Amino acid sequence: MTDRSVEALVKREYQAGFVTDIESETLPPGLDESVVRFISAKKHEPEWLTEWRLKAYRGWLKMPHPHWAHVHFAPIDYQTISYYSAPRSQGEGPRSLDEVDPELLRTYEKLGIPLHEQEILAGVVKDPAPGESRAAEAPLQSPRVAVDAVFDSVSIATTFKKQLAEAGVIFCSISEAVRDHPELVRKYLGSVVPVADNFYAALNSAVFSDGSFVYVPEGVRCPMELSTYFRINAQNTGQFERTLIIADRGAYVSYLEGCTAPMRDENQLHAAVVELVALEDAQIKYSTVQNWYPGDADGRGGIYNFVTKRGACLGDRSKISWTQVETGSAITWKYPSVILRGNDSVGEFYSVALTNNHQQADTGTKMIHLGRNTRSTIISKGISAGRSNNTYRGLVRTSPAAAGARNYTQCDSLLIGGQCGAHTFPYIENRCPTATVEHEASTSKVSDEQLFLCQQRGIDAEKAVSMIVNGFCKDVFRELPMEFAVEAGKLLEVSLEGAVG
Amino acid sequence: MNLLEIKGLRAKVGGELILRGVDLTVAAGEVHAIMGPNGSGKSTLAAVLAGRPGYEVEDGEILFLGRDLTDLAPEQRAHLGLFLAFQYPVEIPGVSNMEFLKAAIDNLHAARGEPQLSTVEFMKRVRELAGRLQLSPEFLKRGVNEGFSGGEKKRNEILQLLLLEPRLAVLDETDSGLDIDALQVVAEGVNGFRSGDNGILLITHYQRLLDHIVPDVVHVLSAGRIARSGDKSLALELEEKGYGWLAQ
Amino acid sequence: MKTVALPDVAEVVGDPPQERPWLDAGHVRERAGNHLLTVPTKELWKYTPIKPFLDELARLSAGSPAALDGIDQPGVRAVPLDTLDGDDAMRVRRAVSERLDGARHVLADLALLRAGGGWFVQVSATAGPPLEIRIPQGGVAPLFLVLEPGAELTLVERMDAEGFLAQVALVELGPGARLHHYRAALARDVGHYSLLQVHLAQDARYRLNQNCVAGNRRRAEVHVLMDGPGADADLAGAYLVEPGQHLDQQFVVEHRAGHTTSRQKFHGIGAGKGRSVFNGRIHIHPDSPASDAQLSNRNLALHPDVEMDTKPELEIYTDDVRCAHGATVGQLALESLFYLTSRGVPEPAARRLLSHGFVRECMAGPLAEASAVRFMEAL
Repeated sequence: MTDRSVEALVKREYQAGFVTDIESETLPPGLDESVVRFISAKKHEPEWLTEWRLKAYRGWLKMPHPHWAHVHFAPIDYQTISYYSAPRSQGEGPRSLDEVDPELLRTYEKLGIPLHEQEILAGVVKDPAPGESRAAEAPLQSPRVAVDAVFDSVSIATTFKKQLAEAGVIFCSISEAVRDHPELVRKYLGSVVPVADNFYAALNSAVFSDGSFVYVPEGVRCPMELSTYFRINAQNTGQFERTLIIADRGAYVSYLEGCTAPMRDENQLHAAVVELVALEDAQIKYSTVQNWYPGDADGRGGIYNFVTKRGACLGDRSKISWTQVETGSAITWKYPSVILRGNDSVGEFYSVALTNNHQQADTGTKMIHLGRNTRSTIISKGISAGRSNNTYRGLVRTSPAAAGARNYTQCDSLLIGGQCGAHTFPYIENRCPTATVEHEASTSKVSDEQLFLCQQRGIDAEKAVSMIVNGFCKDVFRELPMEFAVEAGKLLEVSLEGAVG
Repeated sequence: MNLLEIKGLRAKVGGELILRGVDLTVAAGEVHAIMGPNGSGKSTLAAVLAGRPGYEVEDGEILFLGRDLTDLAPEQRAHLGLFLAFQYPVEIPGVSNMEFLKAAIDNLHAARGEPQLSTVEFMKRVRELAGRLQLSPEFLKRGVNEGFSGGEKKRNEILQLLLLEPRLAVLDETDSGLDIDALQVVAEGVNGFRSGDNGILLITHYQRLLDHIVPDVVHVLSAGRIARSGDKSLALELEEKGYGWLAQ
Repeated sequence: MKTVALPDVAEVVGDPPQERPWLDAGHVRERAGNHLLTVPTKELWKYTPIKPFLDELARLSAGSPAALDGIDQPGVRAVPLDTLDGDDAMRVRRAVSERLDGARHVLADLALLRAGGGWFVQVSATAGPPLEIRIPQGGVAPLFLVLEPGAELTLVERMDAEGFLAQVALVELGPGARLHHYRAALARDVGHYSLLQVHLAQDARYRLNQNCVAGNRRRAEVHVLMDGPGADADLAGAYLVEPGQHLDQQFVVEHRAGHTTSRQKFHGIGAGKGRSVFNGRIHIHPDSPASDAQLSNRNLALHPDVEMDTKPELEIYTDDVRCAHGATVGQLALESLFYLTSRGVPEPAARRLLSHGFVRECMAGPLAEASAVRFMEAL
């Protein structure tokens, strides 16, 4: 590809970059114990949880700032960040839909996430004109999707709660769960990601403000897709959400998260923790379409997305599957992982990470095989363009007890242009002689021949690049719930818009 | 004298019942062809006879020279004189054909309490066979089937057949992927093996192999059972009408 | 992270440093001292503790010079390091100061500071008989080998001394030069650190076959830098872990010019309670178009208590490349086992044969036979 076309390729517009003008209650920047206590008090939390947060905070103070070999950014001053910001109209936590500030509803509608129960979640890609309804475009037979909408530090609404409750499924903000289901929260919070797991998990444990909670009881197949939509709006604010999903014996749930933020010149921190627990024969499918603001073409601004996601296959024959499409953020640092404790349990990780301009992504997974005959599959597709760097980092570990464990990993990189980087760092630690671990990686580029062939057959170059990229990613898109697969494809197209002159 | 007697054989692969009661007898000096559509169980039958792991005999008997094979390890079956020519011969990089063939023949002799072949005699025989099968002597130094063409792999199977001199040869789709010249070389090899003491079980989808290796009996396997048996003319009938009419 | 108190640089190499014409000891000492503060706690020493190596280095006495055979032939000039001066000394001095990655190879710097003996060898034609080097016991005998443009050499290196040995070899291949390099480290119960760094100028070719048995602790670092276009490197080898032994191999191949090719193929067997660490890194620098790199690492775990770790790495900064790597840890393929048993080979023999084939595939050259015999003893 010529330099000029590469140049054109990196030009793209971030479509979710608007700011909602709303009055917020925002803590002044800074972090100390009083901030932790303030957040806990704001949520009327029981004392054990306040103490849990404080313990995490004190641990965090002693932890060194992380240093990553292939990620470069100026040190973050944690005293310049505000740790709590909520729309004033929200008052004391989530409300029923008709009580939510119409300005907030309009924000979500603009993002293509209408919070009306009769409509499906349209996605995180298109930016329709204000007031334009997506409902008309939605196929009638589309399944319904329940949404928990998190705006800055708080959950503003959760849809379809009643219908889900009829099936026995609990889907609410984590703040509500602390109040209404304290036994479940206390049992599982921090059980998969301990408070001292890493620097950002410790910070999150201290100051998390909201997030989603799901409990699917024994034998229940959750009747609809669940999703959480995260929106950062306020300036100088960090978002620290906490998600906890528990699938009891034989239960099944499919969950999706989406994320966007306004375009701002400074970097904003998003440090979430997601914990999944699957008991015997349970299955959790967790999909992410991450489109945080990536910064501008010169690398100014954008979200620092430092996230800890981990699932525990506690029960025999349980299964946890992570699928992620990562196109946003200035820096992405996350490794959705599975601890395969139950015998015959299964972990999967399917990932597409696209970086452009000055974006940096360091993402991958850890598969920890503890139980017998545990299996894991890792399919990672990295696409690098512009001056970005895209790293796959993964760990596959088999313990001596993991007899018959199997892993298959495939990591492919696609480079677009000669100024980007694509890196692969797989760690394989095998302590089990009957385990089989296989890793393969390859690198390719969008070649002139491919482009020429497409063009000769009447396909314009931009479409051809998008086709090639989509083809490159299809093994992962196949794993997404159908309506999101379409969205993910479009998202890549937007990201590659103006590719070839 | 009967070489092979299969009685009411039922066998499973991956929990699925594939052979649903196969009866078959092959006497010394006979060539039997097993034909049948894809998925009828032909290759499963070959695998079960040779004791391939993962194939489970649920019921029935396989008597080879009067001895029940069911609980024997693959090498024990080989020592008794059962040979399987693989449909997809395996590549074993790093293990040379020479090492491989020598190990096979030495173990055969040891199991039978016969004297070992000296290296000189062994080399002489292998070179002679390689010449007959038009395999370059260089092939002995290469890894087992490593980088071989489809035709070379099949000729290597026949070389092993002639070297190990079994009593019964089971040829699993040996004709697949061969051009006409290679097919003739392979057929000549097999016909050279044919004798009044030996038996051959030819598994094939097409009748063209049977023009070169003429069978005494033709069986049609369908849905895990032998649906029909007849003489060579049955193969021609199948060629003409296909397998569809059998179901009627 | 557990922190173990490490000896400081003065404890390891003494104070003040001994200046020599071929070594800018002050500079190297400072570099080693700086890196000793940070490097050992990081990635490069994740699976192998560095402290025992430092302790061994500190105990080393000045060893006897390495034995070198095959230097009495036209086109080969060998000078003991102790008598090296003038331009030759300057050349070595600059190579160490400017071309050695002091962070990645911190032990090499320390070893050079403790060196006694060692050779500078210059080859200016196509050498006839191979150059054979035998590393002495209990010492550090560096080798600086230069192949002038178009020269060709076969180098055979035996690393079988008892006790502890540290080894640094810096090799420069001029344009069009060719080096066939065979190394074997077959002794057990040894401590061993080695760095082999090879620079390839335009169209130079390097072939390495390296077979290693794990020692009490053995760390083998190989760093190949393709500086000139058209350079070509082919690295292969086999390794074996026996009970109570530890082997850490670190391979780095850097493509720093266009149209460069590298191939790496390493097979290892874990035959006892011990540990093998394999790190294979391919680094494609910017502006190295049409680079072509491949790495394959396969591990066969034959013992219930062996740990086999592998990390193939790719770091790529240009789009016009062909890169692939693969790594596996597992057992013998059942299909192969069945093929052999169906031909009448009993299972234990079939396993031996397959294991042997697995490592034999990666052995070549004059030391292959001895290596194969040594490996079979353990199987």
